[in-house]
Amino acid sequence: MKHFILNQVQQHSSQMPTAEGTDKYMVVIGVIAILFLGIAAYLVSIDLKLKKLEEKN
Amino acid sequence: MKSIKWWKFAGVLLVLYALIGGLLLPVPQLPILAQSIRNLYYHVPMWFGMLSLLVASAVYGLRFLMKKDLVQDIYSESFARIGMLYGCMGLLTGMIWAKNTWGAYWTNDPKLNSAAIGLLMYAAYFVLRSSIEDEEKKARISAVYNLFTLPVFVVLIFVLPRLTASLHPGNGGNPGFNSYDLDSRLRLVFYPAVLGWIFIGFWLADLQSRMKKIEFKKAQED
Repeated sequence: MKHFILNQVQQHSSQMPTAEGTDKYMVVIGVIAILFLGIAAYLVSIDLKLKKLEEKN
Repeated sequence: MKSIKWWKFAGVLLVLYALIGGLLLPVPQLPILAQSIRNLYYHVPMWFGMLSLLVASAVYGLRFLMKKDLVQDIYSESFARIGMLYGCMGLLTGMIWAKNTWGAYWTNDPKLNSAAIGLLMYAAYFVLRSSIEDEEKKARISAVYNLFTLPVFVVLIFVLPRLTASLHPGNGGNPGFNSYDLDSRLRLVFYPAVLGWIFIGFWLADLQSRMKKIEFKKAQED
């Protein structure tokens, strides 16, 4: 019985992040945000360069 | 910065929100799917984005046929190109999800096979284009091909899988995401994600077409 309950708790906790389980989770979120913003900034720079080329032509 | 259209920034903000919100906001607890339900925010927008891009591609194809203006053909090709990119991303992300929920990267599911056939049909579009030298002829034939392909593609991935049994949600006896549960928690991230990725896709197609237009002008001057 004890084993069964422990098993259930374990299964449950693997699906629901606990306070301990989400430790430094925000760090990863920050990394993802920076990666995406970096790519977006690169797109902006390509867009601006294209604009210049279009004006030249 | 002012020369960049508002919807491009809107796309960045919406996708940023979806990337972060999709990982942080609560999701319903479901069997088998568990936390992988969050893939709804990343995998599904690829297909919605792809469809929007392919519709735009067909519209520009039609505009070429009406105006006989090669610039319309450049738009049409660019949208199809980014649509293909989204489709490939959708397939790859779907395969990872499938492995972890259905147990295999690829199942002979009507939805999956149809999607693969559909993408091959668009691959043929690019083969067709590259095999014709004359610009006018290339644009005309590929626009007609495009206009015939889109409806077949839509039937293949949205209609046929619904008529048979399928593992994929939204098909056969399986409900779509809106019956995963009726609470609006999923929609709160899902709809912004779809809109954001559509904007980003249009931005990529915009960049691609502008590059091609400059190339085209250069080629005409030479």
